[in-house]
Amino acid sequence: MHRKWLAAAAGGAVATLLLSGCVGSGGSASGSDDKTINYWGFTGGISSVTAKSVIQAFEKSHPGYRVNTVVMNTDDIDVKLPTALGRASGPDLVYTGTEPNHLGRYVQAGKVLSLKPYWTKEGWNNLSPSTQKRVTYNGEPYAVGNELESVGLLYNATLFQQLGLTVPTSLADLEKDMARIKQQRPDVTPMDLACGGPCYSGLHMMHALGYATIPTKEVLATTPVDDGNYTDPAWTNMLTTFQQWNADGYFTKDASGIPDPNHQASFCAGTTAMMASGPWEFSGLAGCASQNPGKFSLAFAPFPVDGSLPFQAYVGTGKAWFLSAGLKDEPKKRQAVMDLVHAMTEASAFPSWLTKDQLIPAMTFDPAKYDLTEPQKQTLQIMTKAGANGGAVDIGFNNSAAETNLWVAGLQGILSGNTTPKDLVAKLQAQLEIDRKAWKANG
Amino acid sequence: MRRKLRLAPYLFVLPAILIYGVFLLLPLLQTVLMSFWQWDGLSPHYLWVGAENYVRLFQDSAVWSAALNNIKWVLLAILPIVLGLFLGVALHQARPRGRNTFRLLFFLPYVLPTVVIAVSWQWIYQPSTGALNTVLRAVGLAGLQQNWLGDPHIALIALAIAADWAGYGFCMVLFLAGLNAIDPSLYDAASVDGANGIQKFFHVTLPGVGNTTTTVVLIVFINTVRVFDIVYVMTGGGPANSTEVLGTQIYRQSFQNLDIGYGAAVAVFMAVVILIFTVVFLRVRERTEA
Repeated sequence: MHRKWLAAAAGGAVATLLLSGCVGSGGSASGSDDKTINYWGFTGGISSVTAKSVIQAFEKSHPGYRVNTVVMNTDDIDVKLPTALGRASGPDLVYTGTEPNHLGRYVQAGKVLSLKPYWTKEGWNNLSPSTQKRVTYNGEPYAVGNELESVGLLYNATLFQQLGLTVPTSLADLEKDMARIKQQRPDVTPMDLACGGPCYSGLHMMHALGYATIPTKEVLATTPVDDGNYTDPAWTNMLTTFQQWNADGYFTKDASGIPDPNHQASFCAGTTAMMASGPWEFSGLAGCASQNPGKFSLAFAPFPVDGSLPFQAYVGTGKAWFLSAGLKDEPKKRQAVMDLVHAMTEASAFPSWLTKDQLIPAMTFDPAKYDLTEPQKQTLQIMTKAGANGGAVDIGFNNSAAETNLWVAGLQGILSGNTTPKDLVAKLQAQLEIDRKAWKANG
Repeated sequence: MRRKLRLAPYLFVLPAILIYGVFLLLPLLQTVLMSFWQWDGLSPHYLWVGAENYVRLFQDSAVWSAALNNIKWVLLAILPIVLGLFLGVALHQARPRGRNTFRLLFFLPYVLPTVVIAVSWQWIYQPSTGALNTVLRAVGLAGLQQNWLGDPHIALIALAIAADWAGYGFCMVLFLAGLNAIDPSLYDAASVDGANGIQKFFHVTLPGVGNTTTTVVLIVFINTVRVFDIVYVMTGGGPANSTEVLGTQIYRQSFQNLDIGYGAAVAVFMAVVILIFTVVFLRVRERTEA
């Protein structure tokens, strides 16, 4: 009898373990079933107007298929993807960043489907050259870029007009403009900055200043696969400029304590004159002119570059779609997912991406055919002007999560007077060396 | 038949043991085992590193700085205990009208989700538009305005105050329960002996809530050492890592840097610290009471 009870107890324990998922990895390689497409990603690829309507149309044209969407922010997705990719409850399709820290690490781990066999057939060879370069790892494309981005100078044209300011074309001009704003309108902050929390606005500022003061090839050399160094004096000089602008009161006061999600509010209200950012802000700021008549109108210009350098700017695709490697053995579902991504990137979706979501498609297109806003036209001009002097941002956000954390803590430290540019550069260099070792070991 | 009866109690507790084992002991064991490996959470390969993660931990200034912040936070957590005791005594002895309403009001912050508390206090502390600086300006104390969450020297204190605000009501409720258990005749006897209010507090009330104090201190200590959510939402460990605690370090190492083994080692370290303190504290309390 005793044995029977023990056997029953053991059986119960094993059943509980199995139910709790503690034994083995279980489940199929990807997706919950053949016709449910689990789609995880940033808001732009899922809940934007265009993405929603494409998903709806896809479900109509693919009877039986259902797209199960999960919107996540950067932190969430990077925490959840490593354990979810390739599992039954994990995503079949992901919309996330393309950099070594995001797409790169999943490619290295063999969790992403190579798109090489489908690239030309699906028309993705028409993606802009910089995008194709960005999504290529170890010589093979692994993701389909969505929008083309650039960091520039968003400015309040109404305020500039009222103060008689001209759009700065050199870094020296920008500094003069900021000084004049501070002098003539003490109630207005010259340059928006919010570095509490994730500090994205600080990182964008750092990117803009990086391209404004450091040659592109040096900016791009500080990656795990290249041999540039943060100890190059240009990096310290750039951060010293950042520190000086803060000391001069050009940035938002107490920026190290202002949460990032609300940083556009004062720009929108007309109490901040400029902001270093990109086209992803356009749709959010579109209503500001009507909300604050006579105080705000949005304009976009190239972020001025130091006189000793030719014009250069960040130009690249920030986010892209990639497929779980588990789809390799599920041809029907894989094709359905490809169809969905294809629909997102085909020409018929461009008008919606451009006008409703204010994003610039990464696929090559003829701008003359579309009704673009002035900031959008300016974005395209910046990209054209940057030409070969443009490049992706493999700094700050992207080499590794540890590097991003160092940048955030360092910028906060500089803003609050707790860190020096030299200290930050030394820490970044040490981390870069760790990342290079890890990259080589994994590669 | 006799055997059946002996097995019955075990069967009754079996579901609880299974739940406890599967959801607590097993993950705990897994964490301890993981701390001896190096794993990025993505690759199918694990690398045995022995005690290397622990050696690294003891040399890692970021972990020690986080542990130091936890210690500072523990010291700041005395505030809700004292406040909880004070309010408990006040409500118990003064018995004001609407006592239950007061009790509910004081306890309310504790039932709010931490994220709601964190976001609310983030707004209160916002340097340019936040309520705290606005009030200071309005009452002519503009000089006391601070960049509450942006200044590395005060951010941790600001966080701890927000957490203390959420926790004092819980301490108060526990103390009220303890106060209700004190025999009223002890107060009568003290009065007969000529004790004043302060003497009654120190010689009757405090010894009377001794066990409750032990419980409160332990709960507050454990909650303070494993604090994560309020820090993560309000500052993310910033500015300049000044509010980084062991909880955020574990999260950062395990889920952001994908250094799962090292994150597990930090988690084991935190659990051991809590365990040692708990055992030592309980022993000391037992000896004091004896």
